[in-house]
Amino acid sequence: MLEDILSGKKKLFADGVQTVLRGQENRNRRVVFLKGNMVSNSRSETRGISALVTSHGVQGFASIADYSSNGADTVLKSATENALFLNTHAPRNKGAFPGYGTGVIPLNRNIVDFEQKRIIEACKTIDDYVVKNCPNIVSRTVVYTEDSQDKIIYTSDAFDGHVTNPRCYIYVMMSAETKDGVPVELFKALGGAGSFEDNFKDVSKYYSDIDELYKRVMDKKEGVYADAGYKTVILGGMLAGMLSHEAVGHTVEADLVRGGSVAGPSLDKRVASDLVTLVDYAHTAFGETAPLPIYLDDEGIKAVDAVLIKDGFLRGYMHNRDTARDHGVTPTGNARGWQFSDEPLIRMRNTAITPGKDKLEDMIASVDDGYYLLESGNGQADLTGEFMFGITMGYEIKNGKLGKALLDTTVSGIAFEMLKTVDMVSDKVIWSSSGFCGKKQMIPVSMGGPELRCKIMIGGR
Amino acid sequence: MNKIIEISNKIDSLLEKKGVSKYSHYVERREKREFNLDGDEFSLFRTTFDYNASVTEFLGTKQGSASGNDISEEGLTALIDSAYLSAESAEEDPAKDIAPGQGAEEFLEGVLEPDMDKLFKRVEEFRDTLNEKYPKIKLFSIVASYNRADSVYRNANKTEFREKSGYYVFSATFAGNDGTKTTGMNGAYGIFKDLNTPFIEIPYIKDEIETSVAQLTEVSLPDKFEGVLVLKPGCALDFVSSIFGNYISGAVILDGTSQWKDKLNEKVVDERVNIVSDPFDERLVVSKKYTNDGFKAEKVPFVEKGVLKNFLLNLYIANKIGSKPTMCDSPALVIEPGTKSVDDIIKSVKKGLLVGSFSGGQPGANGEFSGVAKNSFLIENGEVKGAVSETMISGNLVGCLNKLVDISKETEAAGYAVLPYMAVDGITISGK
Repeated sequence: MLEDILSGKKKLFADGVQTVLRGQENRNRRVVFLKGNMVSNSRSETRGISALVTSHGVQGFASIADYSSNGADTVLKSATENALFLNTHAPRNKGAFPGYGTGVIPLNRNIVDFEQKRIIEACKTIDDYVVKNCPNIVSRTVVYTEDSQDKIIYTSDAFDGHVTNPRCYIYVMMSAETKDGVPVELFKALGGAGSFEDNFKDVSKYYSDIDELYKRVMDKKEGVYADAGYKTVILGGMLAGMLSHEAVGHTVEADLVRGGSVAGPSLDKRVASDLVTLVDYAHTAFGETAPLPIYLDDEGIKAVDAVLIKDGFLRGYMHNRDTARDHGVTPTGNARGWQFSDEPLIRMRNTAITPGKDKLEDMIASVDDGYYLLESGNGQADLTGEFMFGITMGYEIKNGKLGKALLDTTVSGIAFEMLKTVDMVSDKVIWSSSGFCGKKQMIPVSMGGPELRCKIMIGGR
Repeated sequence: MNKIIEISNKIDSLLEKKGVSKYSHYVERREKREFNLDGDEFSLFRTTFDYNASVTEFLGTKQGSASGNDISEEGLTALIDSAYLSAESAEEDPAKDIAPGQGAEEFLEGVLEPDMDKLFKRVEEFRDTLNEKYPKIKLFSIVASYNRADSVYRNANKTEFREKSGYYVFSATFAGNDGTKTTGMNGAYGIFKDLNTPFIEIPYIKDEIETSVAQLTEVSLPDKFEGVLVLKPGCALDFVSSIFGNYISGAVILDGTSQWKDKLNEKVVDERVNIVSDPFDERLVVSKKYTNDGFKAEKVPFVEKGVLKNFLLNLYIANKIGSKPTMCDSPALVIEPGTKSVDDIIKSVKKGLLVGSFSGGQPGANGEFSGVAKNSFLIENGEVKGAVSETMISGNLVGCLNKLVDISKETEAAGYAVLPYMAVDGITISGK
C-alpha cells in the first residue's frame, strides 16, 4: 500500500488555479499456462505522482516516476507551467469550476499481496482439473491476471482520499475441433474484485463453472452457423452488459456528447422501450457492493450513480468537472486515469440495465424462431450508436425450445433503435467485471444486465 | 543515456551479488510531451517522465520476471528479489533460455530533439485548415505528442543493445456533419520523424477527412450478395494481423490450433501475396530492432509468393517444438505492392465495397469472420457510389486471400507499417 507522503503538499498549490495531486501505484501479476506449459510468470509495480492544474478552462498535467517529496514538488511546478503555456498560447477564458463540497473519503479496501508460488499453484490446480475432467478438448490455457490501483488524492477545492481498486481473475480457455477439424474455442473469467485470497483461497468452488464451460465447448463443436438476417433474439446478461457499455455508455459520456454523439440531441427523448432503465453505478448496485466499486474520482469528486436511461427516456450523461459545468449539472465522479501518468478522462464504472419481471424460461418459450446469445468475445460501437458484438456462444431457439449451439457470429445494430424493440426483460442481472475499456488509456470496468428479448441483425457464415 | 547505463550496471552488480548467473534485463527512460484538443480547442498540455526496468532471471531451467519503475537502489533490489521469487516458484522447463551472445550494438531512431513550437503550430494549422476547407467535418479531438526514449537491453551472454528514439505522433478523430446528419466516427493516425509536411497535406490523413465528408451521402444496400472488398491499407492491416494471430503466431503453433501448423514451405494464399517483417525499412519510423529473447531483429519473410516461409516463434516456443526462433517478435509489416493503381482495381470491380475499417468479432480459429463494414462505400460497375451503413460482411481470412483480385501499386506508410490496398473476392455482403 502507498504511504501518504503528499499530505503536506497542499501548501504548494498555486493560487488562482484548481489543483489535484495524485500519488498512485499500479500492480500487476501474471501467470500463463498454455497446454500445461508455463509461458508467462511475471510481476510488476509502477508508481509515481501526477498533478493536474486547471486555469481559465485549460489544463496542465505533469507526472514523474518518482514517488517522493521532490517528485511532488516537480510535478506541481511542471503542471502549473503547462497550464500557463496553454493559457498564453491558446486561451479558453473559462471561469473556475464550481465547488461540490470538500472532505475526506476513507480507505475502502486494503490491497494484499501474495507470493507468486500460490498463484502458480492455483493455476496448476485448475489446469489439472481441466486435464482430468475435460477429455475431448484439443487445447487449454489458464491465465492468472491481477491488476490493482492504489491512489492517494489531494485537491485544492474538492474531496481528498485514499482509494484502492484491486481485482484478480483466472481465465480458463478451451478449444475443441468440429467433426470437420475446425477449431472452436470459449473462455470463462473466474474471480472478481479483491486480492488473491478473496477469490482463490479455494479454487474448487469454480469447478462447476469449468464444467459448464466444457459443456458449452462440447455443444459448440457440434454447432451450426446462424442464419444471417434481422432476427428475434434473447441477449444474455453479458450481452446486455456489452450493449450498456459499448453501444449506449460511450455515446453518453459527456466529452463524446460534446464531440457530436447521437445522445446529444436525444436528451429527454425516447431512446428505448419503457422496459429499459440503464445506470452507471458508482459503488452500490441493487443493494450490494458493485463489482468494481468507485468512491472517489481523480478530480476529487465523490462518486455517485449516473442515471442514463430511465423507463426508455434518455435522462443524463456521465461527467467530469468541465462537462458538468458546461451542462449546468453536478459531476458524477466518472473522471479516472489508469496509470499515474494518465490524465483523468470520463470513464464508465459499473454500467448496467436494471432487471425486469420476466423469467428466462418464459422468454425462451416465447420465441418461435430465433437465438439465445450468451457470450461475446469483443464489441465495438461508434458515436452514432452503431454497434457490433462478436458472439462466441449461443443457441438456436426453435418453437420455444433451445436447439443447437452456434458457431462464432456477429450481431450489429443502432443502439437507440434496437433498444426500442426490447419487449421482455428478465429478473436477474449478470455482471462481467474482468474487462478493460480502451479510450486513449485502458481502465477496468464492469458491465451487466438481465436477459433482453429484442430484434437484432445477426451475421451468418 | 548515461543514467540508463548506470542503472543497467547497478542491476548487473545486484544480480551478481544475488548469485544469479543467467538473466536478461531492460531499462528504459521515456518522456512524452503532448497537446490535447477537445473539439477544436486546446484543452490540455501533458508532460510525463517515466522509467521501466524489467528483469528476467533463470534458476537452472526455472524462469521468472519482474518489472517496475522504481530505479532507486531499494527499488532495483526489490525488483531482482521479486523476479528471483517468481523463478523459484516456477517449474523446471529446459526450453526456457536466452539468445546466444550478439555483441553490442546501438540503434538510433527518429529525431532526438523535439520542436514543440512547430508541433503546436502544425496542430493549429491542421485545425484551422480543417475548419476552413472542410465545413462538413466536425472535429472531436486531436492528440499530438513528441515521444522520446533511451533504452538498454543486456543479458548474461554479453549482449547489449542500446537504443535512442524520438518521434512525433498525430491522431485526430472526426466525423462528417452537415447540420442534420452525423456520420460514424473516423480518424487519422500517423507517426513521424519530422514535421516538414502539414498534417492535413499527408495523403492518408486527407483521404480519411474526405471519406468522412463523402459518407454524408448514403446509398441503401438492401440485398445480400457475394462480392469484392477493396480494403484500404489500414483495413488490410487488420486482416493481415488476424492472419498472424490465427495461423502464424507462436501461441497457435504451440497449442496446435493453427491450421497452417503443418504447411511451412507450402502455398497457403495467392502467389501475388508477399508479407515480410523488415524493421530496417526506411519508411518505418518505429520498429523493434531486437527480440525480447536477445536476438538482433532481421528482415523475415512470412509469406513469399503465397508460400508460408516462417512462423512467429520466440526462443521458448521454438525450443518447445524443436524449431528455430524467428528473428523478429513484433513484426514491422511490409506488404509488397502490386502493379495496378487502386483506381484501376476499382474499375475492374462489378459489385463490392471499398472498406475503410472493419468492426468485427475476432475471427475464429478456422478464419471465419463476420462484422460491420465501417467508413465504407458501395462499388458498382467499376464506380464508387455512396456510403453504406449497417452493412455486414463475412468470409474466411484465408479463403479471401486465395481469391485475391489484386494488390495496388500505391502503398501507405503511416510510420508503423507499409501497406497497399488489397482487393479480395468471395465475401458475403448484406445490408439490413
